Amino acid sequence: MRYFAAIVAFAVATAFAARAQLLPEFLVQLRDPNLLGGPLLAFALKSSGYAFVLAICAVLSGGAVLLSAWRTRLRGASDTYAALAAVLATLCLTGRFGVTLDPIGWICAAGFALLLERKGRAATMTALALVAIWSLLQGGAPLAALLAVLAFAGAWIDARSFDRGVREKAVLAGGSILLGTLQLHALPWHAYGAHALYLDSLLAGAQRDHLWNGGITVNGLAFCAILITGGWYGVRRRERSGDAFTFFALMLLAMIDVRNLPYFGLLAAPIVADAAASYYVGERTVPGGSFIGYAAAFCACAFTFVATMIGTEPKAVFWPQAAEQPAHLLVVLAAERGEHRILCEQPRWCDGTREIFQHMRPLLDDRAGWAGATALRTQEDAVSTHGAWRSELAHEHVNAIIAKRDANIVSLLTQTGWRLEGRDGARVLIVPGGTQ
Amino acid sequence: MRIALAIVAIFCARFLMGAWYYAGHDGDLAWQQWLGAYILQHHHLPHRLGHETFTAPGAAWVPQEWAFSVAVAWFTQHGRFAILATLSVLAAAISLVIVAYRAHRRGASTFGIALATACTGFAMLQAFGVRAQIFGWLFFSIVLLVLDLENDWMLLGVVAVALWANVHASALIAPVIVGAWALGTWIEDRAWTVRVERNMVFAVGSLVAVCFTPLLWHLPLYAVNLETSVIRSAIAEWQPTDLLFPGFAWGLLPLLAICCYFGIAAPRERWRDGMLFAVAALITGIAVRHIPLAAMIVAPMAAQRISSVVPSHARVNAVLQEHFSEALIYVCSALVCGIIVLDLAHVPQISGVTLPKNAIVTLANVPGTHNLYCEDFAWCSLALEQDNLRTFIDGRCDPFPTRVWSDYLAVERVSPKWDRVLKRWNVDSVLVDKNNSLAQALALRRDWHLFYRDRRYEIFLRQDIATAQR
Repeated sequence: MRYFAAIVAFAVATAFAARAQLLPEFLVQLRDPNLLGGPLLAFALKSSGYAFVLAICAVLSGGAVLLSAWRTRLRGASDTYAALAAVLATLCLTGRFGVTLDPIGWICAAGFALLLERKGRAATMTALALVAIWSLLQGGAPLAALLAVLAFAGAWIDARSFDRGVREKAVLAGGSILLGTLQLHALPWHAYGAHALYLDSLLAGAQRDHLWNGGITVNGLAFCAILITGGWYGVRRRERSGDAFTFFALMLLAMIDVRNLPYFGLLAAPIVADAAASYYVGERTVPGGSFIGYAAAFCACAFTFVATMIGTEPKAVFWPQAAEQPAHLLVVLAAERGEHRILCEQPRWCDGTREIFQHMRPLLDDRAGWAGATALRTQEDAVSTHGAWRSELAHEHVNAIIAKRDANIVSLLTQTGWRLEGRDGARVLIVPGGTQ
Repeated sequence: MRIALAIVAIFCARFLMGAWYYAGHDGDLAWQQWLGAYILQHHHLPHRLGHETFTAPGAAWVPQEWAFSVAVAWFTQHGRFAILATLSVLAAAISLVIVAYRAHRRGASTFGIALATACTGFAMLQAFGVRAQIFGWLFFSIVLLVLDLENDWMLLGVVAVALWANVHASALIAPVIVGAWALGTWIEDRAWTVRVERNMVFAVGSLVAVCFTPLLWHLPLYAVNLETSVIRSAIAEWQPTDLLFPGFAWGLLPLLAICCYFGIAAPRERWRDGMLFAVAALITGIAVRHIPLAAMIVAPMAAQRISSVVPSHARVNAVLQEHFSEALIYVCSALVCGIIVLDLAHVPQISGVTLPKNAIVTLANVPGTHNLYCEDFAWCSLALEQDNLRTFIDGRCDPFPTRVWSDYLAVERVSPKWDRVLKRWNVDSVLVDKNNSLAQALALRRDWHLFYRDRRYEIFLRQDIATAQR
């Protein structure tokens, strides 16, 4: 069982590379002024090709799973339970396999959670350095602040005094909040922070990915697997309040938007796997070996993986079309002269429109936190064709709409002067100016 | 346990207000009354749709809620709907009391029992109505009680499952629950013990019991088919669970969180409870209709576990058990019940009528036979008792073929082919909510004209169509 977690991590990297897709969100992250990860990956694309970027993301995902398993092992659980943690975490990742900045966030979150459980000044400083790197590269760094605050609260409750360990956690929490705030160096701060944890998906009209979609889904099963394991063995089993706080906070985040599910998997799986281990195994063992040694072994495997990927895949220097993006319709619209204010039935379809096409301004894209209240209301009313949606569309100067072919807005607008400009199977592009 | 009764009384008051005025809100009662009257008159179940619908006459039908429909028809015909409403409230109340009793049997403290009962009540609140499912809750709680008792009363459980199957097809969950429990005991005992054998017999017995209806094996087949049916997307209670659903957020989620925090892996009951918890967790995400069932499963476990940190001798429990505290809680409970009744009696959403009864009657008074499309298929149930109205789809919904459902949804969602669908089916009247998309689309068409309008509903009639024959 010793190598089981490593095998699972390798399988994650392989599956990630095999899926080889680009998630639409990456198109908005790519040129986001707050994130350096996007420009870095764009540079990597230009210099080394898409296969290299894909392989890097795959390695980061595998590394996150490995860190999750290692955290379980460092808590004293045996290799078997580390493998269990790896499997549970992997189940939660599978729905989000694709090139975005998320894998950076995943590995940072797994590493930060591991460092949170260490004691001493070195661990605190390393954790703060990690938060700094995370906040420079990816938008999920406020999660670090949340985790640090929860760990501090848990440690304080458990110790019932403000001892040295609690003080360390307090310093770490303060530092993480500061670094997390520094990340939000563009206005509006609150909106950006909310988007980082997908809290903005709760706004009416915003893009929201539900945990449960009806029937049995991989995401639903993955969530259930952790919930059931937690229910069986109890997350307070190791008498650490911080564990429970982390588990429930991330559980809520995953239920708010399923894009947070990987974080729930990576951070909660070690807690429940360790709880299971403590039920069956009395003696707890911590692995020997140095961090440098493990890191070197991981890097060697990662280099081999990346080398194999770029050696076997064609060196394409362009981003592939993002999954589910109506690229054809956007190109059709771009061919028309003038400025276009575009409404997408699903905000995600408009991701990257502003960055790729100069004359297009989407009403709303994935980042609802950025959008004004009027735009959100227009989106909601127009998609459901409720209220004064026609005047709201006119007020926002919307002159192009991408929607599903059988959407009610398509029927109602084509009855009143809008015309069909293009179609790509299930979706259509409609613009004003047709005959009734 | 006595504090739990005070909590149940509060929920009863809320349930009662919902049930009392329920006939004005749920169109399903109309088709159930129609079905019940048919059974009382002909003394057999209909197995096919008749000419009351123009899209699928002759389609095979499994009238799974037949027993409840007979009750609805009988009580309504005798002017005693209030008794049926009261029985529904009693069914929900007894289910809650059984949850509290199961928690009490597990040694839960007063605080734990009260908390678990309240959470279960919240989980039930949104789904409550004068509906067949509510009686299903009662039978489900009896099955869970029989499992907890672990004695020779399992025959009572089998009878409960058989009765449940005659009321509602959700009885199909019983063999799964009992089977999971039996599997749990088998893993615990690691041998074929008397207990394992009894539970296995119960599992097989409940599987057979679901066929103890006039529908025989058709009922389980129907329930299995429903799991993959396209109609689920159009039915509110089949929608997937979400955090923003109050019954989940304030009812089931706290119970699941308590179980996850403390763990239910107590040495003696580890696998039995574990298996039931797993089933509850799995069914939770599938549909909102499972929320009350999942809450009934996990509530006693949560109460038992929370009692490990708030034991019976804890201050809060000691205070709750004092006579003065009990009396105070009963007085408060009575006051809250009174406030609920007095307050909700004046809330239009509760005490008013939200169904388009006037619209249907007005249309029925127009000479000729009309092919009626209702934007919400449940409204069309009201048309079943009108001889000159034929429905596109009504509240019976299950037996209508997939093709009819696709067409229904194409119109309801105002897809580009909506008017062609209406023309193809010779629909000459459409009942809509005047704030929705379909009303806007019809208002823009010259071949349709507004015939009826009230505060919420509109009926559009086609200009140039001859009326159909029923």
